[in-house]
Amino acid sequence: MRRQSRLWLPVAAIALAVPAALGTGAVAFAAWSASGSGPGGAAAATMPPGAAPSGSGSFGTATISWSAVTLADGAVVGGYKITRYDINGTGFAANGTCAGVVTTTSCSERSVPAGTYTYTDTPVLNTWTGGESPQSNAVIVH
Amino acid sequence: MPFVRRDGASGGETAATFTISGKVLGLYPGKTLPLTLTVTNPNKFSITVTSSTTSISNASSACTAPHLKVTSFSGSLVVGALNSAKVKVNTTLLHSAPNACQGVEFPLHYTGSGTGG
Repeated sequence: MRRQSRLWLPVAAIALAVPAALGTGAVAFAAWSASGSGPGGAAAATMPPGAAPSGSGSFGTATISWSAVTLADGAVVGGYKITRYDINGTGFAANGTCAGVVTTTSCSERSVPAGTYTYTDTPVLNTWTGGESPQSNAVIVH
Repeated sequence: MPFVRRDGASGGETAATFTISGKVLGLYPGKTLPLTLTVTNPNKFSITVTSSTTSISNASSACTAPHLKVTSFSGSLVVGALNSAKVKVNTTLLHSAPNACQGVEFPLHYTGSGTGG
C-alpha cells in the first residue's frame, strides 16, 4: 500500500508544474472565439424568348397557338402577351382571349378588321418580360 | 487569464479564423432557392460555427439589394481541423424584383462567428 501512495506524488507534481510552466494562471485547452468571412453571390436567371406562334384566320377572327417556354430550371413562365402586326409592321395589343397576359398557349381574337397579320408572343413572369417570339405565319382575316 | 490552444500556441489575444463561401444560381421573382455555404477551417483544431449572416450589395443601379433576401444561420456547425463543412440558408428574389434584375448577380459577403478549441 505504501508503494502505491508514493506513485501519486510525481503525478501530482507534474499536474501542478505544467500550468506553471505555461504561464501564470494559464488554463489549458479552453475554447476561444472564432470568426470568419468571405465573398459569395446570388445570380438571377434570364427569361426565355417566346416560341414562334402559328395562326389561322376566318371572318373577323384569328386563332393562334404557340409552344410553352420555361426558364433554365424548367419553371414555367407566368403567361404570354400577344401582339398582332399589320402589313405595315404596326403592332397592336391583341383582344378577345388574347388580351392581357394569356396563361394558356392558345387564344382567339374577335372583331379583327379584315387584313393580313402576323402574331408574336412574349413570355412574362411577374415583373419580368422575356424576348418577343419570331412572327407567326401570315394570318388572313376576312 | 490567457488561454492555451490545442495546437500549443498561446491564444490569449488571437481568435481563430475561418472562411465562408457560396453561390446560388437561377433566381427569378418569387423564387426561393437554397444557398449552400461552405465553411473552411484552416486551423489545426476543430471549430464550431454558431451563426452566419449575409450582407447584400446592389446587383446594379436598377436592381438593388432590397429585392433579395438571405436568411441567416444559427446553430452549431462543427468543422474539423483542416476541413470544411456545409450549411444551407435560403435566398429569395422578391416578386418586386424589376426586369433589370434578369441575368445579374448580387454580390454577397458572409460573416460568421463561433468558437474553437
